[in-house]
Amino acid sequence: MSELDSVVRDLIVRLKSVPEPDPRALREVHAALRQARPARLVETRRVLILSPIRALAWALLLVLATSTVWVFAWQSEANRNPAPVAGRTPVQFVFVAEQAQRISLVGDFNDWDPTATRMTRGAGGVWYVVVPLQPGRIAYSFVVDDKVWHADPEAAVTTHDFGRPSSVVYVAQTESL
Amino acid sequence: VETPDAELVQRAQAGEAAAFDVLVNRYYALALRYAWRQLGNREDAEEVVQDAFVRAYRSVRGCHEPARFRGWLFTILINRCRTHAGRNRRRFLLFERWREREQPASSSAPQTLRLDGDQEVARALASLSPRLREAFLLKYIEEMSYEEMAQATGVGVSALKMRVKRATDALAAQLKKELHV
Repeated sequence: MSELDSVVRDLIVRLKSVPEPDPRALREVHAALRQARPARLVETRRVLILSPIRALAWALLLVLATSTVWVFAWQSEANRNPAPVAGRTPVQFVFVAEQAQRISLVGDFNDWDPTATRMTRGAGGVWYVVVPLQPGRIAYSFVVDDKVWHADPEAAVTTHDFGRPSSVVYVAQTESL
Repeated sequence: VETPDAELVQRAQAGEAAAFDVLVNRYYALALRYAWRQLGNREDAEEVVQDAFVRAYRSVRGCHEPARFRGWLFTILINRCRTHAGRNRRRFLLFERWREREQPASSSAPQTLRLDGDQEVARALASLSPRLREAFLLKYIEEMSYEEMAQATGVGVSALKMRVKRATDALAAQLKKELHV
């Protein structure tokens, strides 16, 4: 360090001061850790000996189960990543509502039609959908159970023409990202 | 007498959550210092540090060298800082594009870092690129050896030496300019 310029040495001394932790932030770390669990690295192995008939039955069951998973994964993927549309940018919308039975995304892009864009329910009551949108300013809302309109709590709020709560997103050209 | 890191890590690996709590209390402030200096503001740093500790806890059984827990934790922390900075930069660029289009008259000097704390120090650090800042902080503030830095960052030793040299030269020039030396 002695070979360093004196102004840099002074800077290093100032940068080395250790900040006093905010007790609230530290408590939040401990609380978050209480929710987490270490992942297991070692898995136990079991040997299963089956009769030929049982083996065939298991094989059929496995084929059926994996087919279902593949179909589900394909549908889910199609929802997350719809086919690209020229000049449009895929935008993912997310809304959290654990008790909701169904949620729709409405906005300028679908004429505010609650039946046009249904969202998919994920783990923990997280609903999501990906929509290809024209670049520019887009106003939108979430409609819960076909009745209650909600603005996006994570986005800027605007006054909708119909007096309902709605939000605004600014969509960029895909290539700019 | 302070319980060694290695023992605490092994106890956490065996399922004793309280042992990891001790590690959090031991390294929280140091992790916060690095993240704060790297990201430029405390709020973002606290968020990233929490995320890093949760990730470290989840994968504590993958810490194969418990005695060098600090280096292992910093590997996670450095990656979280990089991800956070990248996300902020993308958000900033999106906002800038919108602002240029909607409010072309109100353009101001671009600044991707939101700064707080010691403004002079923060400004000097913000003048460095994230890569140079990272190398400088690990070398002179966290006092890591180049081998430890290479392990934590995934960057080669010679490249790190070059980054540290460039960072110190740039900081010296920036600080002298501010001080009119």
